[in-house]
Amino acid sequence: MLFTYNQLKKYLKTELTPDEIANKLTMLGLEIEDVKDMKAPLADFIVGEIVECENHPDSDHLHLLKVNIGTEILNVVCGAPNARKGLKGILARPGNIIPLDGTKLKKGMVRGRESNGMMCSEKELGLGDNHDGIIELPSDVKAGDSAISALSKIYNLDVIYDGNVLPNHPDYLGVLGIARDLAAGGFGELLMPEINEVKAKFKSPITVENNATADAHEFNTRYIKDVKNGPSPKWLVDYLSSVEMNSISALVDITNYCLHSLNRPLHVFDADKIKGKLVVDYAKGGEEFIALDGNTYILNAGDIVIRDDNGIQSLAGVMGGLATSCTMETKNVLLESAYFNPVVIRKTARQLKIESDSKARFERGIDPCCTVWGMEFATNKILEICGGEASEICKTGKCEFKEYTIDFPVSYFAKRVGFDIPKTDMITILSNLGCKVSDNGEILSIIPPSYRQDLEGKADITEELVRVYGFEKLPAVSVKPEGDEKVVDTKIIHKTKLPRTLASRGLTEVYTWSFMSDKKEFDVKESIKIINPIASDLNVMRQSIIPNLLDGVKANLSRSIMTSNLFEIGPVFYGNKPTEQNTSVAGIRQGLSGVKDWANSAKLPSFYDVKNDVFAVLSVFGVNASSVKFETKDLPSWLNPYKSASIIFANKVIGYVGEIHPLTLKKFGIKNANVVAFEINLDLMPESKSKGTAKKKLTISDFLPINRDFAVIIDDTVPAGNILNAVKNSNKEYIKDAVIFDIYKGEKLDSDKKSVAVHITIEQKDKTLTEDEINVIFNSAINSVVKLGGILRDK
Amino acid sequence: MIDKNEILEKIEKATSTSELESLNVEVLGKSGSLSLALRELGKMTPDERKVRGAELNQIKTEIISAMDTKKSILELSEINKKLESDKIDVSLNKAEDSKGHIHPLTQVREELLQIFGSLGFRLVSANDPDIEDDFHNFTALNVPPFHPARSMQDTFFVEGGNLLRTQTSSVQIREMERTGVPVKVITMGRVYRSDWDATHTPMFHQIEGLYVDKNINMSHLKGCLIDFLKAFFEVDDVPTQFRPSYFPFTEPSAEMDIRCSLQNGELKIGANGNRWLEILGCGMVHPNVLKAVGVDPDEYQGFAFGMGIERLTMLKYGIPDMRKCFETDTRWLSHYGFEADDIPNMITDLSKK
Repeated sequence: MLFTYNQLKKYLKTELTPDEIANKLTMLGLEIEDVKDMKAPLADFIVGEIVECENHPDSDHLHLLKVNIGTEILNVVCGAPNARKGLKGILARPGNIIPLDGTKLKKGMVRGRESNGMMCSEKELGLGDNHDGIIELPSDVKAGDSAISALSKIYNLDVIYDGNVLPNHPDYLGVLGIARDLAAGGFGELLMPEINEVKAKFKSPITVENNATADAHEFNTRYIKDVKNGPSPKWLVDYLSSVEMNSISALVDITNYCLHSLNRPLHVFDADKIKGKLVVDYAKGGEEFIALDGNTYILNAGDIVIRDDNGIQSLAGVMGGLATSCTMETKNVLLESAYFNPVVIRKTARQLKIESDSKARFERGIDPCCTVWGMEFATNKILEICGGEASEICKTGKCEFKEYTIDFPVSYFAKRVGFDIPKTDMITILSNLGCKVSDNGEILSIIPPSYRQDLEGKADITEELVRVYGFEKLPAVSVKPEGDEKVVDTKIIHKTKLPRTLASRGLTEVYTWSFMSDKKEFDVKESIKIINPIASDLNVMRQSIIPNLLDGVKANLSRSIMTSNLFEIGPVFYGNKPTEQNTSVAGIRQGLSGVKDWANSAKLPSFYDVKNDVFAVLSVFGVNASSVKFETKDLPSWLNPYKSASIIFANKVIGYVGEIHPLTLKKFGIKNANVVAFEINLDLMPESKSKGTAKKKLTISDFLPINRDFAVIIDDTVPAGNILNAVKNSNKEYIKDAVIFDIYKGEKLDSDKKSVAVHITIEQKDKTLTEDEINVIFNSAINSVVKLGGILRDK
Repeated sequence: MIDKNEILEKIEKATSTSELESLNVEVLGKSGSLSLALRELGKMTPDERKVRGAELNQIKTEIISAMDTKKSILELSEINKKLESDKIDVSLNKAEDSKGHIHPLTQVREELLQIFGSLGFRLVSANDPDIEDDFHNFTALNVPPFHPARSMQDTFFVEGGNLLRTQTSSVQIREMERTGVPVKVITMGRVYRSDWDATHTPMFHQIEGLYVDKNINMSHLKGCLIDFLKAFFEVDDVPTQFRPSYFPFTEPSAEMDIRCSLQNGELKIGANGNRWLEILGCGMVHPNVLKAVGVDPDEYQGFAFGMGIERLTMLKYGIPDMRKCFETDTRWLSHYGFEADDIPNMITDLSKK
């Protein structure tokens, strides 16, 4: 809401400066986002009087001026057609900032002649649109006077505020309402506009039928004949331009003035263009309506319309029609002042995507009791500016605003805000806000005014009291608990630890959108579509994080970032209803593990790197590597089936790990790179119950462990993991560890065979084992592999 | 005949340990010259043997000593030669594997958890869906259909009638439905609004706080938020301005500003700042919200607040463009991100200095 200091002063007698007003309004609840003082940029300009004016010898339009600025006479080159001897105008001197474009004026040479300044036009000073010539000041100003004092004689050098009106304060949409709130806050005295009832001399010749009184609660019209429309007087043009409203014609401008200053929307029809009677009714749906903005709208059933014999002439409360609009030629006018149901107005405007100042006010709720008052105000202005003769008011419907009472216990205020204010202050504040207050001891019975229907209950009254009394008076009381309360559970601690675990493994955390493109989804049963996506490639909710990470890899490659080791923890969705989502962790590795350097230590990532990432994730949740299985059947299509696995924990697939399928990479535009990734559903991780209790006792044997190696030739299809398990299980008591230290496939073996070399560590618990005893353990380990089909190769 | 001086001279002239070793064999070996000479002693008379024996033993001792001395000299020089041949260039560095980083949003979320945890707020970690129904996102929060407040935020809708939550305030409703009152919780999560520029992204994060009990009033709200701001920005005095605002789900509603100056993206908090900067929205929970979850607003009351986590992060750590938070640019992430071991805590300073 734009408004000015001078407009406000019409309704408020106050000593406050423009800046103080801005501050008080912000603290009352009308946040002033910008204050623009039109005087401020003019501070350095002065009045210059042209004492000589000759034509420039080398130009057909430039003048050579001698300009008196009181203390000296300057040479100025000027192109304005109205430059002449004796004219007093505003001179910009070198160093002045020109308000129009913010440039700093420099001393210059114009066609060989020195120029020490510029005589300014209205437009150059930011005072209007006139750029046809330089400003001509009245003769009583003196050369060298300040521009501000001189310009104030012919311009309204005002201070313009931009206030952010929140939905609970529709009254701020009129300057009068803003003044009323300042007065209630004790920052001035409210000056109500005086409105004289117009003496009507005849009945309106246009009859009105209201068939929609359920929502067009009140619909009043007045016929004014023999008006003379035309451009508005200067004060009205200036008023509107200072709040960035266009001046159309006197009749329309008066309604906008009323809307802006009193929060009372009105409409004017050209009465001669109305055929037959006016009917207020609901649209049936499908009708075409050409509005004042020139657009054609297809109406929906339920929109409130005003029609005549020719059809729909106005969309109630939202916008008038082009066909019956006023023009400069309008002779007879029908003025409308009505009250419509805010919800219907809002619905209509939203469905038709139509904005107007009138709609913005009706939808938020204007004062339902000001239809007649507003009409009288506007009639007076029309008669004053355009002349003419007014009819009686033709009324249909009756807005029966019912007063209601809020019983407010005085003690409720302190209970709710934590400090007290005297009851007498409460009564003063509420009365100044327009409420009728009766003091019943502990209870104040409060009747809010018709223009503050947002006041519904005790909580609202509390807010009024605390904001007007002053938010700065609120005390601050700590809510620190006295005892130790447990504020997070272990699962949260684990989730907090997880990013740090993965970051320490070289993965960098990212946050990507919860949405993605349906074209990049993996094997989903059904897309979860967003009806109004922000972009066409962000049109579904993600069911996996990996596609977004692949997009990230692609984006990084196009930034010449050749390594992307990324992870994200966040929601993935499996349905379009609340709670149909899981928290997932996904990681991706692409490119060398570090910079390629002389030591050759950087490696390309493989399945085994991300498998270790998986173990790291599991261990954060207290899950041992031995309690998960990796299976290669039923893998999703985005993975390379020969270098990937599903992760099984507690008989459930909790995620996948492996290399991204080359065709998937192609789909994401990733070339010449191999990418490995994992994703785990964290909601399937167990709740850890471990506490900081004593650990199991550590026993270290005094006898050195014994190491033995052997190799077997075995079918390539036998997983190495099975060999290790067999070896470990062959003697759980003595075989402390087993690792595979070599796998060979190649020419020396059949193509379906491999050679696997195993290194085992035998623990000597409490004595030195004899060679025979060692051999028994060793041979049983070998035999366990032979049972899997292995042939001993080497011992 | 043994020529002691000749042998000692040979030892002295030896240039390698292997030459010394063959000299050793030549003199002291089984058939070495000195060994042979000592064997000759047996053929001598006792008197001769006594004199000659002492003489030879003296020579042997001298030779052995000379050999040992020469051996250590040669060994030292040989090992030095070997080490020299293996010399390295200490000016070189060996590249480390690329480091991983924690996203600044995660860092700030942990800081928030630390601070509000110390103020006794329990973190709600489940029960906070991103896809929400109209009731929890709007109606229960005192925003009926066609309420003007609905257009304050541009909502995304999913097929099937639900929407993407526009605020974490929906968790207030879910948590009170689940646990009833009293309740003292925070929640942090993703929220969605259809907006995209340097300070708005279609998805961002909010932290929401809710404290409802029998006697929780607006002065507690102010106290809580001032405690928070001091801890978060790590300053002893945060000049704040509490001013009226509007949210459908709180009444009275307020916004809190901090006094600061903001130059070249660097935030300086203090009374000599040149502007008020809006930092959060809050208020007393609207009685209609309590009624929507079956709580008697005459018996229970309390406050709620909400903040954008990106905004807090950008202010605290001087991050200029919010959109970058959701890109995967590792140059940005390693610059604005944190090391894995930079764990915020409330025992020392909250964040690393």
